[in-house]
Amino acid sequence: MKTAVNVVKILIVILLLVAVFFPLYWMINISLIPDNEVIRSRPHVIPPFSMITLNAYRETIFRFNLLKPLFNSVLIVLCASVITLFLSFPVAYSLAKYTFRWKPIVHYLIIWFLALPWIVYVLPIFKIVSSIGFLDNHLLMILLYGFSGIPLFAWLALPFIREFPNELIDAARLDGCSELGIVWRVAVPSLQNAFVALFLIRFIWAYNDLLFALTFTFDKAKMVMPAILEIPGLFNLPYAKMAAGGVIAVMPILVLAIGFQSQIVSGLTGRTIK
Amino acid sequence: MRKKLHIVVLLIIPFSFFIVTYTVPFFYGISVSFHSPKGDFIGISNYLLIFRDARFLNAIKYSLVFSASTTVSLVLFGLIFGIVIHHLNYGRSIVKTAILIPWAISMTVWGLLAQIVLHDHFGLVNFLLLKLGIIRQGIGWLSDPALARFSAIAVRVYREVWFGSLLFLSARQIIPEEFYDEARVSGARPSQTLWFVTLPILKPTVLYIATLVLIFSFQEFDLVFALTQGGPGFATELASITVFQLGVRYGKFEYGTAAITVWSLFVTTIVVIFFRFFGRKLRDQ
Repeated sequence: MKTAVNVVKILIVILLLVAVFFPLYWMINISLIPDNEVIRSRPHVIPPFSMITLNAYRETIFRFNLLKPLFNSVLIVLCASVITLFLSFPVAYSLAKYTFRWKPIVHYLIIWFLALPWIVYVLPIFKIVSSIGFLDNHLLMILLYGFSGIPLFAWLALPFIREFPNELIDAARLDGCSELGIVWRVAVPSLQNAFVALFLIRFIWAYNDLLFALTFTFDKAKMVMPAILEIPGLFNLPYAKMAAGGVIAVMPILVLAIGFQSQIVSGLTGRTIK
Repeated sequence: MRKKLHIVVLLIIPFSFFIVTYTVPFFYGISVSFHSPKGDFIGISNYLLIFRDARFLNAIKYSLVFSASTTVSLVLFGLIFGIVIHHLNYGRSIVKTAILIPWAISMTVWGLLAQIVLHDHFGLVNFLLLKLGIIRQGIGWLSDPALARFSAIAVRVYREVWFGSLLFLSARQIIPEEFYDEARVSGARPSQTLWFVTLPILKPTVLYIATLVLIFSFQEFDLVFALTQGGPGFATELASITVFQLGVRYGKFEYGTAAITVWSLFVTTIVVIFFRFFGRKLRDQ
């Protein structure tokens, strides 16, 4: 009985792992096969050794010039994530630690901003930005992604800050520390872990976003997600190149997700379990 | 006065960056929706057009179906997976790490990949179904309008269910073991502990995650756009895709902003209703 249960459990583990890893595996598999071998009614489940080629990667990097959008994305999102954290943390701190009359209103505003789909902002911002000729610009994207995260990340940071002991704040106040000094010298250093976690999540979400990148960038500041969307043509099926572009675009995030998995899990679940 | 200064610096200034870059343009968009492309005030004419536009009405209908069915399946499967993963003694930590991988793959890449796997003739899904003898000939997962609507939902659930499982798993892990010891001592069967201990304790989490997933479903744009671009025809167009195509691709700002206003009113109403009934934990004051 006991062994039967264990066998079932091991089977479930294997099934789950297959389901989780399959998309990544399949993408790598297809990216290594020549295009004409991908388009066949019996797919290669394992790339045949004699066929393995890096041609798709060469094409996406040199012909579609994918490294430039990749660099743009990383640069933009890195700066934007710093801005988001820098601005959303004090918002969360004041909601968690101060009492003021219109606090409920700020709460409701944040929830409303979370709920409104991003598409509602796209058209008016597009109109304003294009009328002042500011489209397709690194600075624009840094500001857009930097500010767009403020409500969500204030909301995500709230439970972490609420756990921070009030006694420490009172003690610092008695020592004559100013309110801003408390935030900067007492709260931020001891909430480092939450900071790192939320920074990573902000980076990953902004990097993976398509809507803003597709709307506001097309050439000079083109970001990686709209860039790989241009690989599929209208009449051909360049599957190997699509897969190779996908692998390249996903790589930075996969490295982060695996390298910092415990921080990311704590950031994502903080709101659920606190 | 001095006491208020830190609230200005810590709350009002940072928050106003969002208000100025997002909320102000949003209200500007609403005012644009009452004007013609030339800038003349035309009242609600754009809205009258919108409500007769079959394309937009279908997009709203599909958005609602899409959000409702993804929310229900994500909560249901996420809850099941979360509890199952909790009970896997050896594999739990490796599975917990591995479920971050689909979450890390962007919706855009996921959509492109699903395009490859779901192709009528060369896709893996049809190949496997043919081989197992479940179907006689390839199914047009993305070329048949009704099926494409289903596929978009299924592809999204496949990607997002791991995130939901992670949230449910962590909620399940913090239930104290004593509850279960007590249930065991009083002779409860595993199915009874699940029904009378686990589920009642997880109920607030379920409602919270349902609200969260619903909000994220209304946001959906990336995956469906990468998967089908709204096609075949307009079959899988979500409201967000229609607005994007109208406003950004065709340059119909005034018409598009009217669509936005309607859509944001819709979403706000639904989310407010949800919060009134379920979302105590989200409101969290």
